[in-house]
Amino acid sequence: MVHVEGLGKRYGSRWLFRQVTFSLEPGEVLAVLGTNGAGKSTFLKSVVGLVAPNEGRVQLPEGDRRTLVGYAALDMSVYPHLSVREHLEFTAAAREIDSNPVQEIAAVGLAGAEEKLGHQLSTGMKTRLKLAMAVQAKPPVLVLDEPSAGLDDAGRALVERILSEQRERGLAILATNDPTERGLATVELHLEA
Amino acid sequence: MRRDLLPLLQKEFRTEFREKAAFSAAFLLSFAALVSLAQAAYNEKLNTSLAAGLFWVAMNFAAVVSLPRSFVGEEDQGTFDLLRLTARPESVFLAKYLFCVAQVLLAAIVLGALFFPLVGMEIKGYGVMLLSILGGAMSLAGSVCLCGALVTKASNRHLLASAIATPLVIPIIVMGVQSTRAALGYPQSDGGMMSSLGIVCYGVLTATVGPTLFAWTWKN
Repeated sequence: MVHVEGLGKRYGSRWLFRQVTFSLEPGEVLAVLGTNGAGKSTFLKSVVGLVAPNEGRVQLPEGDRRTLVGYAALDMSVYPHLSVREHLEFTAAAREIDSNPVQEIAAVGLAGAEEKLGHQLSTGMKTRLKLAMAVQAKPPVLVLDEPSAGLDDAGRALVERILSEQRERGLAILATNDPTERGLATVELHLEA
Repeated sequence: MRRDLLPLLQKEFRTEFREKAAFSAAFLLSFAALVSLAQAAYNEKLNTSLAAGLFWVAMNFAAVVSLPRSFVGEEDQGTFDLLRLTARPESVFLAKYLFCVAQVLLAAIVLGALFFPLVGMEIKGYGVMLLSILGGAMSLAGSVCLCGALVTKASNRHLLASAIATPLVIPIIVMGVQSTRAALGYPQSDGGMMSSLGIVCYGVLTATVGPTLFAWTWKN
């Protein structure tokens, strides 16, 4: 379903990662592990197409990327002047899919914060909103960069639930150093700095 | 019209309605420039050439301040990746472009209504003037969006945007000054209508090439 072959990315003369090859099938969860600066986030961005690799290729299932891949990352922000509800309405309309923002907001534990603007949200609330936008289209491929960072215990349980649901409809790739998240993976990939 | 263009456009205007940054900055900066120039020319009768030039300096200001609101702003605030994964590049470009056109157009209309009476100029060719302002808004917005789109991922994007914008903007200013001069009744300006049409064509060109070029840079 996802096939990565000989993927490599360098900045200047320094290779962040090189010759990464693997295939993932539905039901699998890949944990990308490595120390800070090992290139985990860049690797995920290369997989979803946000960063162009210097070598190798990524083969994703055929289809519209807007609904094919769900992505949430620490360095991704939300719009400071849009509310939680408006974010989900916007992403659904831009993806041209039907959505139920009230249900999606409740599913990530943000009920009651529907009208809060992006700049009024805490770090954990922003993470929950990003997770809601990532899974909104029920994508077959879900890519999460340190999904539990900044989340409380309930938030961590939410990530576990999202990954468990994802395994039923497709596959997931997550970059993490969290032992609990690592325990949810079926396959591991170690990147070295 | 693309179905996904509307939510993108709605996002731009909704954000502006709450932030009140782009429109007010465009207007205030341009107005300050005009007042300064009009003050400098106090008690001296401005000729049509100079008045047309000053007006286009202000138009240029209005367009340049919209650069941060285009793609550069998305990258700076960390929302560009979200946009890239949820929307079509062509629609993103068109939404940014239309927002920018509205901003420059509004600033131009308000400035035109204030500036020409302030310096004692009478508009003699309204058709040429309106065409010139409309074409100017379209082409300046197109150039600004195109520059923003091309440099978004560069580390020195602000410097690069200015460098790319300069050769794109100069022909617009030249045509704009020529057509405005003609609209103000400058005796030796035969090509006023041609310049107006030229500037509109330039605007149409940036609006049609922009989405395709942006989609290509987005994917590569």
